Amino acid sequence: MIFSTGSALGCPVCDTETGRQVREGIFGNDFGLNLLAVMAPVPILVLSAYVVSHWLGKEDKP
Amino acid sequence: MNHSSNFKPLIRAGVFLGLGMGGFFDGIVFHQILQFHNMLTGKVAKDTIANVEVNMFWDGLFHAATWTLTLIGLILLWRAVTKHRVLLSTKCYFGSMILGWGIFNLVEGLIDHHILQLHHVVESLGVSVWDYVFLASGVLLIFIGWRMVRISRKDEALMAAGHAVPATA
Repeated sequence: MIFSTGSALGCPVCDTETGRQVREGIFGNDFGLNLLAVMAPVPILVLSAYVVSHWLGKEDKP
Repeated sequence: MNHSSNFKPLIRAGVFLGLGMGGFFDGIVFHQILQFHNMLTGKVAKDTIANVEVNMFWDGLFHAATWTLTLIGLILLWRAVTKHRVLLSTKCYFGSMILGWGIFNLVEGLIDHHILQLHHVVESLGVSVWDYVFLASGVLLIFIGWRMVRISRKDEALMAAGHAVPATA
């Protein structure tokens, strides 16, 4: 662990009780679901950007 | 190839940069400065130091995603000005950015605030009028950005036809 001094230190790599709780909170059973949920908007945002720019960037018909 | 067909790279770069700016605005203003919510406060309440840290971790992943969208926008902008004969229209570029910001607010608001309920604009209120204001801001920004891009296209068409257009085009 990177940080081991100070019992109040809490971070994903802290060797403290709080650090352990943080790791449990992040990498618990819900980690995969939380990751999917947090990243869910990203592909939709990228797709929207491509569709909108394609549509708006199309040459006007004479 | 004429100028009209070369708007697309600039619009695409602007939209991606707008997505990134929208994400950073949300993260910086709502998550960090005002601390109205964090990424997972709808699931993990900020009632202990450990839970605050857990939310900070997911905020970090959210910011990593918005950083990546911004990087894509910068790469697309560089490609637009170096590899394509793009008409560098200020109105079109900033309109595209505003449009991207609006798309961010609308998509993130719908998915995170309403469908998945990962967090809400003001977490202590749950789903509140502020979540709908956030969605409305997305629709408004999309409308403004869309209009700016369309107007810039019309200005460009007038220029191509030999008419004078405002200097801001």
